[in-house]
This record gives sequence, structure tokens and C-alpha cells, in this order.
Amino acid sequence: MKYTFNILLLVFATVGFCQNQAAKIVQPKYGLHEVKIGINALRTGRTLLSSGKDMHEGELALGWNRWNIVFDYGTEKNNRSGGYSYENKGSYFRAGIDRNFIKNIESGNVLALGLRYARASFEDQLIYATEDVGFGAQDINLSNSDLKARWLELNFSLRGKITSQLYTGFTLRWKFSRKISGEGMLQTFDIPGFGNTKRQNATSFDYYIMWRIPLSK
Amino acid sequence: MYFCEPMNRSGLIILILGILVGCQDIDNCTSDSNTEFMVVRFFDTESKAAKKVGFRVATDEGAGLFPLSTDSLAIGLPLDPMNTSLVFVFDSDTNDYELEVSYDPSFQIFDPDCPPSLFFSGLDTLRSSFDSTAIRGTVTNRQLTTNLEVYF
Repeated sequence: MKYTFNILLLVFATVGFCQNQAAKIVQPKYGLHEVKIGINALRTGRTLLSSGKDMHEGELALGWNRWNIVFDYGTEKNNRSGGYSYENKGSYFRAGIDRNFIKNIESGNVLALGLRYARASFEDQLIYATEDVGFGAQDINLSNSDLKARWLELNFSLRGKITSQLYTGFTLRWKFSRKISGEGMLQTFDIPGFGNTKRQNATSFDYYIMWRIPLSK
Repeated sequence: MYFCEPMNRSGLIILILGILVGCQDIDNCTSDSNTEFMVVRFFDTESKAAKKVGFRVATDEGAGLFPLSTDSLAIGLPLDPMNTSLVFVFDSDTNDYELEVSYDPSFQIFDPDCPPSLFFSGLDTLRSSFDSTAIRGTVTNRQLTTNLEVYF
């Protein structure tokens, strides 16, 4: 429920600002017709606004008729503290395909549903002093040096033209079928690109700023 | 023709603030169900009825001493997170018993605003001088009222 406000706000804002779409319909073209390269502005924003977070993500989208082949790559570092110190850092990628429901593909606009396969490689460390429960206060220093995670995503994406070849829009993600390997005594809390491990599934909202390179005339 | 008109500045600020506020988790340290001890309950071997005991309990390492009153039906025994097995010595005025258990300690951050929690899984009995024992819960967890039943 915590994302409901965000989702509704984005949907209403986008719908409200997007009433001028052209009704132009062109015949589908086969072959690669555009490349979009962009960054996840929300993640960069959180890096700038939040202490203890350093996260960046880039996206490459290849337009093929009404399909988009999408690659994401990101890095993430989280430092958490409060009577303890926990650091988690690593990288991740997503790869998948979107079905674009916008018929005018030459516009570069996107309203799509898609699937992603994602993997993360990361490490974490916990430093903590336990209370004395009969064995004395113990200094705990635990780490996992070779953690791997993989998951699947169902994505809803929207991209709209801002000006010239500049596009922006969001992707709503539902992440599921998560698997983690490499854990020892320390159970990891963060998974780069996925979120935290409190729940088996996760949702997220990502906001992208992208530059379009048209390939077809 | 543009697909979207540019957002005005105030709309963008409201949008960003909404996202930042909406993404905050609610702290709730008390909902962490993990515990750092196993719950042992005592039963009479013949009647299988719950048995009140008056043990003084210590570990073989001599690090801990956990007195138990004379009318206790159960005791919560802490486990050492730096080891994977532990021997408890149950001392009464008439008899001494030993119980060795094995376990897998794990640390977990349940909520980043709460201290890390410790719990134990794979709880098992390696050795016992009681008449018999039975594992009822292999994970230390607040929802479990019994991890180990001891019959003597």
C-alpha cells in the first residue's frame, strides 16, 4: 500500500499531461528503428538526497517494430547503522523484452508491458556487539563475500517525448521468484536492484530520462 | 507533436516529495519474531505430564549460570552464537543431567532501525543423560512455546 499514492500520482500526472498524443498511425517497420539510452533519475536522486546510499542505473532500449529489447545495468551501495554497522554493495543487470502498445513507433513513445530476468552479484558485512546473555558481550564481525541473487520482473513502462530526442517516463516493477545463494551466518538484508529481503516479492518505481537515437528514416 | 507536455515545476516537486514520503518504512522492532534462546519443557517419563523442576543450569564452558526456581515447568536457555553446539549441565539436589544440543546461528537485520536479531535454526539433540528428549521446534521463534521436551 505504501506505493499506492506514488502510483496514482504518477498515473494521473502522466494521463493529464499526455492528452495531445497524435493519432497518426504508420505501417509497422521491421528491423531496428531506434536506440534509447538513459539513466534512472530516481536512483541518482536518492544518492544525492540520502546519506548512506550510492546507487546508479543506466538503461539501453532497442526498438524493434513494436517490441523493445531492454538492458539495465546498475551499481548499489547501502550503509546502514544504529547500534550496528551494515554495508552492502554490488551490481546487477536486467534483460528482457517489452511489448509496446503505441502504434506510432516512429514517435518513440512507449506504453508497454514486459518481462525481465535479473541477476545481482554483491557482498555484505555486519559489525555488531551483542548483549551479554550468559556468554559475555561478543563482538560480531560477519561477512558474505560472494552473494548472488536472481529474480524475475513483470514491468509496466511509459515513456513520453519531452523535447527533441529527449524522453522521460517511469517503469513500475513487480519482482518475484527471488533466489539468493552464498549466505553464511549473516542473512543479507539488501539485494542491489531488488530492494530488501523482508518480503519474498517486491515492487518498485523507477523514473528514467532517456535520449533517443532514431535509426530508420 | 509531443506525447507529453513538460510538467510544470511545482508538479514535479510534489511528485518527488510524494515518492520520498511514500517510500518510508514504518519502524516496528517488536514484530521481530526471532529469539536468542531455546525453550525447554520438562515432563515425567511415566505419566508424560508436565513436571515442575528446580534445576540450576550451567554450560560446560562455565560461562553461564541460569538458576531455575523449584516450580518451573519450562526454561529459556540462551545459545552461544559463536559456536554450533553447547553442553548444558542441569544440577539439582538429587541428580545431575547433561544435555548437548547442536544448532546453526544466524544474524539478520529485521528492520534497519532496529538492532540485528539473532536466531538459531536446525536445533537438534546430540547427547542427553535424561531418559529421553524430543525436538518440537528446530527454530528459535516467539511463535513456538516449546523447542525441546525433556522426559525424566
